[in-house]
Amino acid sequence: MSEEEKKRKEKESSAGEEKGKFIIERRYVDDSRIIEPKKLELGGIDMSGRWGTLVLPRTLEDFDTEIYRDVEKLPRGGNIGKCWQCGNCTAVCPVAHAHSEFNPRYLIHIVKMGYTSEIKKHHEAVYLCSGCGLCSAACPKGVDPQGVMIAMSIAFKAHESELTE
Amino acid sequence: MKAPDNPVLVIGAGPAGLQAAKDVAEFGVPVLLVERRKELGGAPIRWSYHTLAPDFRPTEEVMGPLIDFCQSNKNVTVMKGCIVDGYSGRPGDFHVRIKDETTKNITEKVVSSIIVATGFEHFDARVDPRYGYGRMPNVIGINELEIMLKQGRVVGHDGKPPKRVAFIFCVGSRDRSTNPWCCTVCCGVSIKQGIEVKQLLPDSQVYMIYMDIRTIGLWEKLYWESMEKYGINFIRGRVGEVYYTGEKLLVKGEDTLVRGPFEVLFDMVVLAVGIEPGPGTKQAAGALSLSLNEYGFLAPKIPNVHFDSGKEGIFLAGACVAPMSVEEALSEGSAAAMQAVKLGSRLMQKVPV
Amino acid sequence: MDSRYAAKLLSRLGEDGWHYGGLPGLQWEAENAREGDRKTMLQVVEELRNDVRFEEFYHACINCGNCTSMCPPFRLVDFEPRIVVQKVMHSKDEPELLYQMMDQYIWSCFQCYSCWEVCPAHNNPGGLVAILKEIAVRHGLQSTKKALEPYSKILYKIMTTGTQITPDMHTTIALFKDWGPHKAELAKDIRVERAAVPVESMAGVMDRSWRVEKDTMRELMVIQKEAGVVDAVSHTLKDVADMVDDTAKEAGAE
Repeated sequence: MSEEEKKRKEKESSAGEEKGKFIIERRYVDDSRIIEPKKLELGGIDMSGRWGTLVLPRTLEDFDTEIYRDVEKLPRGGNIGKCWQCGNCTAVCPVAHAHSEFNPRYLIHIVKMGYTSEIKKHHEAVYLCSGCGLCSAACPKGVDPQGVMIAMSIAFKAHESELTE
Repeated sequence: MKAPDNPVLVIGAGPAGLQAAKDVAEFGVPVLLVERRKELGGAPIRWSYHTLAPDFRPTEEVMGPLIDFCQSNKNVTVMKGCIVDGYSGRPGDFHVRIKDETTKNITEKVVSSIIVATGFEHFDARVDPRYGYGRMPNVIGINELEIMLKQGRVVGHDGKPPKRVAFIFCVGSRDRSTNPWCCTVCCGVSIKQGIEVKQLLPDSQVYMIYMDIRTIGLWEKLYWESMEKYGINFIRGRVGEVYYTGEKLLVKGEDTLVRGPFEVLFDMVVLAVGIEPGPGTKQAAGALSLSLNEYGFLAPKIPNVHFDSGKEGIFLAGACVAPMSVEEALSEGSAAAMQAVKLGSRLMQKVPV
Repeated sequence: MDSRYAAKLLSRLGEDGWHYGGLPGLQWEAENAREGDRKTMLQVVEELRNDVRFEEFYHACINCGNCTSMCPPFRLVDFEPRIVVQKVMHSKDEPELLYQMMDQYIWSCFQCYSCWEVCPAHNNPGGLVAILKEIAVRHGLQSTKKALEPYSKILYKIMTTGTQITPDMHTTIALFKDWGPHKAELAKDIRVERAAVPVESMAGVMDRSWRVEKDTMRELMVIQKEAGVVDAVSHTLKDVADMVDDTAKEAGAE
C-alpha cells in the first residue's frame, strides 16, 4: 500500500467514526452505507443531523461476473468454477489462521458469484496469500486455490480502479 | 410346483407397479393390473418426463419396454380407469372389489396377493404463496419445465428464451408449514434440468438456490458436471419471496455462505416441487385398511423393510411408501413381486388344489 | 508442523477448545466471543432456556436463511435472524456467543416476526430476540440503557396512564431525544397551532390521556408490580422508575 493510499484510508476511517453517530446499533452498519449530508435543507428547514442520516440497503442487486470471467481465463484460475465451498482450503491455510480477513473459500465465493460490494471490501486480502500450496493439496475438487489466488490478484489489479473507487 | 391360479393384484401402473407386474408375469403367474388413470406408465409418463436422472436416459427407453410388456403379455390383465374399492378374505384368497371410475361398475375378483404401488403427486406450489406460483408468469415447477424440455423449447410467457433462470430447491419439502420430509430426488432432477437448459440455451445463466445438495450416491456426478462442465452457479440459501416486477421476477434471499442479502432479477423461476402422497395412496389405504404414517405415506411394518405392509399377502412398493427415484421404484416393484410369488408358492404347498 | 506454530495455534483456542475464525469483515464476532463474565453468561442462557415461550419459539435451525431474506433490518444493518437462532442453538456449549449478541446485536430487531412466518422449521427468531431483550432489561446491560433511553417518556406515559403518546409530548422542553435536534424549532408555535385545530378533531386526547382515574392507576401499578415491570425498569432506567413511583404516590396509588 502506497503512502498516499494509507493517508486516504486513515482519512476515510476517521471520517467513518463520526458518521452516523445517531444510529444506536452503529457497529452493525458499514461506513460506506451511511449517507449524511453536511447541510440538508427541505422547505427552508435544516434537516441535517439525525433526520438527514440515510442508510443505504446492503442488498445485492446483481451478480456481476466480469472479474470471475477474467480469473477463469488466467492460466491457473481456470478451475475456479469447480469450487463447491467446502472450506477445506481455509481450514488448512496457515495464513487464514493468523489473519481472519484472509479466507480463500470466501474470496473464491464472492468472485464466483460476483458480489462486487464484498470484493471491494475484501479484495486486498488476496495479497496475504503466501503461496504455500497446502490448499491445493487439500482441495477435494482440484480447484487449485493457490493458483486461483494468483489469478485473482492479477484480475483484481486489472480492475483496481473500479474496486477502489 | 404348480403356479397358483389366483392372480396377483397390482394397484398402480407406475414404474414400481409395472415392474412388479412384469416380474410376476414372467414367473408364469397371472397378474391383474389396476390403474386409476387411462394410461400406463405412472408419473414419468403422466408428467412427460423428458429424461431420467442421472444418465439423461429418455423416459420412453426406461418405461416403454415395461408398458409394452404389460399391454401385450397374456399373463397380464390391465384394468384402466379403475380403483380398488374394498377387499375381504385371506392371503391366497382375497376377494377384491374393483370399481370403474367412469361407469361406476363394480367387478369382484379373487386374487392371491396384493401389491400396492400407488405412487406420489408433485407438491402443488400454490399452497406455499411466497413463491407466487399460479399468480406470476414465468414461475413454473420442475414438472412443467420437464414438459418444455421434452418439446425442446424453453421459453417464458412472452415466447422468449430466458436469460437468467433460478431453480429454487425444497419447495414443499423440508418445511413444517408444508411437508417436513426431504423429497430426495428434486436436487438431482433440478440439476439435471439445469444442465439440459444450458445445453439448449448455452448463453443463459442458471442459478441453483439450495439448502443442501442431496445428490445421493451416483447422482453426485450430476452435481459435479453441472458446476465443472456447464458453469451452473450454486447459491446456498433459501428464497423468502418472489415478486413480479411487471417484466422480471425479483428473487429475495440470503446467501448464507457470505451472510449477504440478495435481491436479483430473474427471467424464469423454476420451483423444485417436492413429492407428496397422492389421493390414490389415501384411497388405497382406506380400501385395504392399511396404516399411514404421520406424513400420509403408507407405513410399512418396519420402516427399513418397505415391501412388508404388516398384513400378510399385501405388499408395498415405490413412492407410496417414501419419496424415491425411478430406479429405486423399479427395484422395489421387483422386490414386492418376489414376495408375492414367494407367498403364492408357499400357499400352494400348504393347500393342495 | 513447526512446534512453535502449533503452540501458537493451541494458545488461540478458547476455554471450550474452539477457535472462532469468523468471516472476513465480521471479526468483531470472534473478538466479542472472548469477552464477558462467564457467570452472567450462563445465567442468561439459563433464563432464556427456562422461558415459557422458548419451547414454542425454538426447535432447531437448518441454516436455510429464509428468515434473513425476509428481515427488514437485514437490508440495512448487519443483523440476521439466522445468526440469532444459530447462536441460541449453540448457546448451551458456547454461552459467549449468545451473551455478546444480546449486549447490542438484538436491538436491531423490531419484532415484525416476518422471520417466524417463513421459517420452515417454525422457529421464531423475533420471539427469541424479544425474550433476550427482556433478559437484557432485567440485567440492566449498558447497551440496553442506551437503546431504551430515547423511549423514556413513552415508557413513563405507558406505566402511569396505560396509554402511549399524545401530541403535547412534543414540546420545546421534551426529554425526548428520539424526536431529533430540531424539535424545538418545530414546536415553537405548537400551542397556537393546536388552538387552531377544532376541539372535536382532537377528541380530547390532550387532557384526557393524561388524566387517569385513581382506581385505574392503582390497578395499573398493581399489575406492573406483580408482573415485575417496575423492577425491570428500575434496573435499566432508574429515572423513569423513580418518576413513576412519585406519580403513583401523588395519585395516592400505592
